[in-house]
Amino acid sequence: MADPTLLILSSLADGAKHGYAMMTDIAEFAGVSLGPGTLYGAISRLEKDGLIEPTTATTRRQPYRITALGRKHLEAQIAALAPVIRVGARRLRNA
Amino acid sequence: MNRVLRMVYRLYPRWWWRRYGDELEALVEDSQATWPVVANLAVGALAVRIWQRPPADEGVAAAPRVLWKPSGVAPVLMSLGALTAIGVHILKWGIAPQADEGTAAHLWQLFMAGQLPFVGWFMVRWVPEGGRRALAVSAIHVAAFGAAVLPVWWLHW
Repeated sequence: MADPTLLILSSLADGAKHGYAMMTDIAEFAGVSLGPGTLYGAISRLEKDGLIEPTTATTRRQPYRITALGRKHLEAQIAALAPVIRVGARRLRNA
Repeated sequence: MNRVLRMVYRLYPRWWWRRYGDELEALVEDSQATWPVVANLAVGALAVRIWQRPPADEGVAAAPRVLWKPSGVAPVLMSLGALTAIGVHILKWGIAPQADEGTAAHLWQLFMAGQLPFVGWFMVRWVPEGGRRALAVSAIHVAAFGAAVLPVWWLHW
């Protein structure tokens, strides 16, 4: 799974983070190394769609948090992926 | 590396850079600039140019400036130049096809081929940033190009 928007939403689901914190968090939980260009391209799309929003920043490192709409979107994406993962895992076990 | 980074940063649309530039620079400082990072930024800039549009107010604000960029004006002037070459040729020698390609034909070819890089650059550089008005300028480029091709096609030159 390498959809950067889904990875960012998952990263922000437990609290606000700035870009570098998102990158390290995503590398830890998904094993995916997002480049800064990919990350910020996705951040700007997510902000435009109202799925994340900036919080108050005291430095140039701008933190973002997930919005209520973003949480709903993430839930829907996870719900859509769940049966695929379940079926895939079952078929691999039975193969 | 800083020089290369500055060049890559310039690939991002201005409206996007005004909003996210500081943050992105800070992130690159944190994550260290390597060649893969530079490549990722270049691809990211291209993706932003292709897939993202400025907020409506930014696009409208940028549009009038876009119209008078060299790559906005040059193709129109070159199409006019090509048309002028045709007009001068008709005034001097009429509409009958000539056995050899003369100065007018060479000028016409130069003007028509020469404007293509400007048209391409305008579409890549300014259309994503300038919104509908920049698209209208691109439409003018196409119309002017068509107007300069039409007599040549019509007269079977």
